[in-house]
Amino acid sequence: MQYRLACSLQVALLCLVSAMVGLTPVALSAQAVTTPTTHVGNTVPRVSWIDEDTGHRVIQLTPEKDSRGLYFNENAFTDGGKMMVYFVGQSVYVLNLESHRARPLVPGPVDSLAVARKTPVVYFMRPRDTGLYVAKVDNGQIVKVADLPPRATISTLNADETLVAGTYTEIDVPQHPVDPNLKASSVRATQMDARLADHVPMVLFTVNLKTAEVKTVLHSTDWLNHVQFSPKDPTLLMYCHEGLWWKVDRIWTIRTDGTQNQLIHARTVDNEVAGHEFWDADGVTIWYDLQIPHGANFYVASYNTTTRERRWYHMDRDAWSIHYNSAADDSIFCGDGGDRTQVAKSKNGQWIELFTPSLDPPPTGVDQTGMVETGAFQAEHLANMAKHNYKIEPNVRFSPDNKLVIFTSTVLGDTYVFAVEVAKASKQPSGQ
Amino acid sequence: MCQKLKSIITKCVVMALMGCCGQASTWAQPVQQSSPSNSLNTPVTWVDSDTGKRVTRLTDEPNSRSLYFNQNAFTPDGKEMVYLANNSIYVVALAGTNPTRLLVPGPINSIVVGRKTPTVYFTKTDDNGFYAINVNTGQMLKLLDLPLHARVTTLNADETMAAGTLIEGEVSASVQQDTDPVLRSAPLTEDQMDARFTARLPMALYTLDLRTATIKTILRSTDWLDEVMFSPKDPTLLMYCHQGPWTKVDRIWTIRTDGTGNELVHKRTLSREAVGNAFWDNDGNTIWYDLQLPLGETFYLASYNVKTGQRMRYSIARDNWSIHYNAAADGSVFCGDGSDSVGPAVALDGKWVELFTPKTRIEPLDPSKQNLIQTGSLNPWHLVNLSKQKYTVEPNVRFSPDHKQVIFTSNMFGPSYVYAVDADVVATQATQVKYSVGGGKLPNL
Repeated sequence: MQYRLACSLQVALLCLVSAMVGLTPVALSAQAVTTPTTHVGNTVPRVSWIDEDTGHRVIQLTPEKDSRGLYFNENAFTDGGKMMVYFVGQSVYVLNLESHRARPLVPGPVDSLAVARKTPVVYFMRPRDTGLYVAKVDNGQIVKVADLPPRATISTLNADETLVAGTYTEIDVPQHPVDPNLKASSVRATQMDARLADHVPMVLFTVNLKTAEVKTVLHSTDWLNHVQFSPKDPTLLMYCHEGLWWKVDRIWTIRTDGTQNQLIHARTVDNEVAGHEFWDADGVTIWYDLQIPHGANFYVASYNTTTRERRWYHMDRDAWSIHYNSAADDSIFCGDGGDRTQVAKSKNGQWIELFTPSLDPPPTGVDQTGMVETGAFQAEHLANMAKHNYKIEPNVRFSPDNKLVIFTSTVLGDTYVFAVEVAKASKQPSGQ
Repeated sequence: MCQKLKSIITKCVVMALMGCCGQASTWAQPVQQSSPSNSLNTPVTWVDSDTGKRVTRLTDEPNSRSLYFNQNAFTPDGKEMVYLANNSIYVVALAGTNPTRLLVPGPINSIVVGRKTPTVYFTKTDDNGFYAINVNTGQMLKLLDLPLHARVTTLNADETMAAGTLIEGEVSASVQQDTDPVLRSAPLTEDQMDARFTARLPMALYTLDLRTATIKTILRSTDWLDEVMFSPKDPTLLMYCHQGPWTKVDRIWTIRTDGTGNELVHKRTLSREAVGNAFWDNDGNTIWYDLQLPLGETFYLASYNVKTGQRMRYSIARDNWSIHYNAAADGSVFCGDGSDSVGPAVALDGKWVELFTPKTRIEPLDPSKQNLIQTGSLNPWHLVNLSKQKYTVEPNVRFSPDHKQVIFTSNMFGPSYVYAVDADVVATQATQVKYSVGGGKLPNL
């Protein structure tokens, strides 16, 4: 049951790892690797190993130095889940999850993109260029789709692949001098605080991919960010009020026609934070990191935008992760851990985690209408991240078949995208 | 001035009740002394080897125990403590080595200690009469006969009014007995709790005017009304609870003695959120309570100020969660009685009497956050190792009136006794300042 040989991805990976034995990293078969034309000399033979501490197999997916996955809440898969989009520097690459071939798609610089789930295309923008372009994954052909307002960036494509959404500021964002005596983390906090306080007028917009029509969804002087279309409902958008988390009521939803602008989680406690929100595959449930207060008690919380039901899964400090993602059926979740400088200040938090949620039995005989369901996350370590530099965000996500947890890491020194198998590795791999 | 007022009020109470009730006053027997012979196996005092704190046994009677943690147990001068043994009321001086005194031979079924006059009010099981006894003189007076199944559980700040609950209609004595927090030495089982909760017996919350002996119902309900507590400062303000399994009730309520202002203090929003073991802060406006979000997962000592509406939550680590907490009169420190591995915290190292020093953010409150619940955490300092405690007997921690000791009931030597441990509040606070890191720094995102 651990290995379903019928699964094409598993077959492909087994082929790739067939030469591997024991626990030491070994090279993957060379013919599976396409050397990208623009980065000659910057690729390495990919390796795979069974993590000694977890018993799960880790597989290096990308061969290019400075390769990294998309932000955790952005869709990274296209062509019905066959291809994974990632960055190498500022260029866009694709990895065929079946054949394991990696190749460049859009030469950089690219500064924002939205990957189509079904059609094998990637919408993208370049710095200082108002053009919205689409790249075809099959042949690399690039076509301009629309001209967007100045300073626009995009981040998401809707479920029927008719609209792309993003934000723009109506004026240039004021630049504030940086105190050279501040630590990097303080600089970031200070800059975020100043950006929030500037109340720069912003627009949340959609662009129609057929007509190139740009529509204002929301006009605001809040700092709008992380616009994400529901993966199922083509007119439902989630976005956030960006800023230091304890200063914003962060997570909102809105319809593409600008109606139903709605706060998803109203904070009630000083220093309560809600963030790193992402859509469930069901297209109606929003998941987010909830801390009450910041750095003290940790939950992964959900809100169902249809039923309005809420759920809070509590977890221990060491299991807290910068980012979480859910498998398509919510039976498992993944997390990318954190080091001791992060909010949980965990002393043993540098792991890629697999979470199995369990719900508490609700009290019987009393009306539970409107009550938040509670439960807990049981954590299982998938990959040791002791050697990972957490300044690079792992941005965990499940593979489309939910059998792998994909993450970016510096465990080998340079930055690459890896996958770790959800199932434990057998001692004697099948097919040997 | 204070003494004079005290004596006037005492006289008023006594005179009014004599007049109104028309009953012959029943003066108590001279105060008896109990025999200490049964407590030989229990040390009189020792220094806890794990904490270095001195523990002193206050009571001599096997199976003696302190009052429920949220009831006043001290005479107004702070010199004596009222406690229970053998269903009888005893008194002991907190300082020195005075012998314990039997104040009222039992069985009694509810008890209230005055905060203003040295009076203990109680009901007798035999006749359901409501009595007052002067702790110093032993003078006892029957104030009135309470209605069937009525209990008096609290006295207001100026000692003009008592309050309690009663079950209306026919109720078996066992229900009454089982559900009386004063009399039960062990907490109810989950099943007992649920059975009583689902029975939805009609109940009344009533006040008893001590000057006129008039009983007035201020709230009728089929919720299980319990733990009625007057504000220690505001004579017309009551707290009470909807008793039951903690995850099934919106528990803590306040109400005015005229029946107005019936208000829920904490509205639960999680399915298994638990709220309980509430007590008044000495300021008379702040209510403290155990808060778990959800039950057995995260632990807080939470507060609500009924005047300002401000809320506070102190985080408590799992092992430091306590069955009961209490606050020092000046609000500077808290105490807790720990728990065993069976409690909701499933603590692995929880069997301690704890002193807690609060740690809050030192930066001034942002005005835009006025409506947000303030947060902090409680730092634990072990006072007594309770590893031999069987938590079927609740320690019911409370501070001594001078804050220098924490008083608790323990069966660590077999039968239960009431003990006091030196709390060194001042020394602990000094240490705390040294270790306080505050919260002024911006945490990393």
